Amino acid sequence: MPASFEFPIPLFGLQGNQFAGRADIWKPVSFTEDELKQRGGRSYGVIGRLRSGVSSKQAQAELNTITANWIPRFKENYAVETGFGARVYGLQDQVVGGMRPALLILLGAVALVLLIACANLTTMLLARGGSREREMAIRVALGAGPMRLLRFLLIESVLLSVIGGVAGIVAAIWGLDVLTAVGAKTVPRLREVNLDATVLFLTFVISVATGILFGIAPAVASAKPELTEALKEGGRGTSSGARRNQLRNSLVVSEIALALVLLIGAGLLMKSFVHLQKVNPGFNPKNVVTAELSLPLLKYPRGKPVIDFYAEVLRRVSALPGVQTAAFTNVLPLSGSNTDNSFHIEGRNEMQTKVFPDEEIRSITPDYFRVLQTPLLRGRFFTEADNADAPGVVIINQAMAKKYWPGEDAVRKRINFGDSDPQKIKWFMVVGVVGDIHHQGLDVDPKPEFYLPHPQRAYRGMILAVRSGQDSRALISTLRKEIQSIDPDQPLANVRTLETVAGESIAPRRMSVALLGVFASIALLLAGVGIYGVISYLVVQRTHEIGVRMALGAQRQDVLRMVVGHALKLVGIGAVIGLVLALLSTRALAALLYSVSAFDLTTFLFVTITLAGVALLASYVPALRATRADPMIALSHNA
Amino acid sequence: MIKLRNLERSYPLGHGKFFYVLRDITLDLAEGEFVSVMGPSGAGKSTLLHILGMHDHGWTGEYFFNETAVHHLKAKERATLRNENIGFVFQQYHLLDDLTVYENLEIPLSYRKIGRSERAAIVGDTLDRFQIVGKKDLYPRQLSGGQQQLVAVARAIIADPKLILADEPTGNLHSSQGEEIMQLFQKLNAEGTTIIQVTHSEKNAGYGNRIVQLRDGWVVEPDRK
Repeated sequence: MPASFEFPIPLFGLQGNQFAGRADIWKPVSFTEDELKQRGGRSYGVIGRLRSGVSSKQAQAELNTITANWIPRFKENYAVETGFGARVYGLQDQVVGGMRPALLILLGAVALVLLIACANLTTMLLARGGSREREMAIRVALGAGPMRLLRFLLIESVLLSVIGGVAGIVAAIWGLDVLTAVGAKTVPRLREVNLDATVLFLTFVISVATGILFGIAPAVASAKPELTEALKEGGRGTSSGARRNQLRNSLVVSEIALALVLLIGAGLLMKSFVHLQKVNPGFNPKNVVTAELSLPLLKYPRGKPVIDFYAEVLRRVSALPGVQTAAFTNVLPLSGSNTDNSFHIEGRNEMQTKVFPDEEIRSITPDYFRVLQTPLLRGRFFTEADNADAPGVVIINQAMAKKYWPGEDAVRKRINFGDSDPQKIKWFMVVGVVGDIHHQGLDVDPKPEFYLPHPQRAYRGMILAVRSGQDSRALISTLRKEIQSIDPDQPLANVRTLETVAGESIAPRRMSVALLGVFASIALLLAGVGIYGVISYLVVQRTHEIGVRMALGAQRQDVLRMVVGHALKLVGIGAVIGLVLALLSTRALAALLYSVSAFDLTTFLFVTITLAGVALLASYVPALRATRADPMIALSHNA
Repeated sequence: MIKLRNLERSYPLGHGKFFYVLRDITLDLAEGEFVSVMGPSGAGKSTLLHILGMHDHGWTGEYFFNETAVHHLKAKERATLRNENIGFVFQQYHLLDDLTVYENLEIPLSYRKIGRSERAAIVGDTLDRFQIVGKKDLYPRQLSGGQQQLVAVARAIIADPKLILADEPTGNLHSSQGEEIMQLFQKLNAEGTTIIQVTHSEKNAGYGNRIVQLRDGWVVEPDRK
């Protein structure tokens, strides 16, 4: 035991399913003498608690020393060139590390939505301030000091944002249930998330802070009215009004820029997700149901009892009505589990070539590839004849054939897995080459894999895969009955369709896409509302001007062009800034993208045009209202 | 030039009742006239002017402009007819605050699809004619009331209208500025432009050759001078 660690883990450390939500029972790992001698398998992860005062760096140093000592003792397993060793990771990184980029991006998206909402709030307050300029002027004329007005206006904006915060909490109570239901399997420890005092306090602080921060500019503008102008002109055409317009325009430009960044991010993730869904996984997941079986060591010691049990299950399941084919594997594609093994290739001296093979290993029964409908490219599949006593056989995938036998036929080549007694070494001949399967993820290129017949590499824990002619879920109860008729104590665990397995493998991406999509839609809506608000206010503010222009000959389309043109000008400036920001920020998304560039031109263009379309629509309604302005009223209005 | 037959303008009061602003107006206005519409406040003077200017469409009766039956025209056709024939001058000048004198003068031309270079030539000529070249880059707020109204008149005639409608053009000006504007109208009228002005001032009416008196929406004195 390395001195940096303490074992066993204290019991309280295991309470509450700290390691995996699915585990109900924990049992100690016990290895046989033979298993302890095997150094080719790498199926176990090790977890340990660092002793108090020991850093992960110190632990890593100690493990480096230990593994360095293995190298001269077990040259064939731990040659320097293979890069094998032990690496210390924090448990938190291990559990949530994979989700960290996605969660950080979502946090960024939330911040952007908050900023856009704040910009909207400021725009509204500015518009309101503009319409109250005369009121403020009268208040000042009657003796109200600027500080008093400022306080009065800030209370209003803080009140607004606090009401918004309360509404947000109500929405969050509802949203959290949805989020927990949707993302429980995707985001680690999501079920532990709740609206506690910290969240409520933070919401209150953010509400008050945004109310003050974004309310201060409109409040300052309104608290200092230009008395003479405001009282004389009734607020029309004063220079403070012009300043307010500039600020309002700048805010709308910012909203558009921020919304564009979010939309482009969401667009890239969506396109990436669509590409991912189109990836051929190397198998057909439709109409296949899977279930895990794990035979207890005492009842089924390794070898014949295990092989016989699984053979009997297959015999009975295959005879069930509706079942086309059935097979077992020890590792299901896209399920998140994996196991690899090192091997030697006949006729090659790995110490000389410095190529130390170690690839993914699977133990399967003969019909496995028929269940998965993975194509046979060369040679043959396994048969019943490939039993424990028969000569060793192995099927490899295309990636492995290309890697180890490039330019030659891999069939009939031989490999072995070593043995402590060189006289007992068993050779396994390649009898077939199959198509590649995306095992670790649709976004991960297929790795070299080799398959052994289950009787020649028997595992007690296997996964049953059954292909049927129709919806395979109908088979589940029958399967349970058949297995219990063989062994009444044998449970069938984690029953799910292969489609579900494949779907769950992209669930984190689906969740990121869905959440970012929601945030981007909110951003788009807010930007649309912002443009609508600004243009509506502009139309009201320019009623007189529009009336004059119509009196001077402007037709409806001239007015439309003028109002929509103003909106499009703002959108244009916002889009340019947004595109630059997006170019700078989408780099951060690169890790989450599949088969899509972070600078994908189509997405950038499509999103920009969509945003421009929404802006056009948002400005068209007030523009249309402007064209209905009655010059008679406009010219007599406050003239 | 203008023939009005039984023209009426009313606003609904609810319960099937109407408030009449103009009643049974029958009037002929010939080309080249300088007409002053007079009457007390609420008599319907400005309403009549807006109907003549084709801003107001909610009237009944007949309105012929140069033999064109305005009452049969659609809104867009009326706008085209207005753009080709009518210029406006308002009491409050209604210059656009954010545009320079030059740009204010250019507006009516831009709405008549006149090309940029031709617009520049016309605006240049008008600036010369009204002797306001030095003020072309100033904004309305940088001008006096008289200067603003001068620019407003220049803007009204820049598209070479046959008819100028002026709603109390000197109402916001002091007397000497008012006289200048009225003399300008007289000059334009002498050059062939028909002018119809709404005014309260007998003195200003004196610059024209005909007065139409309105009272409670009725024409009470459609006499020539």
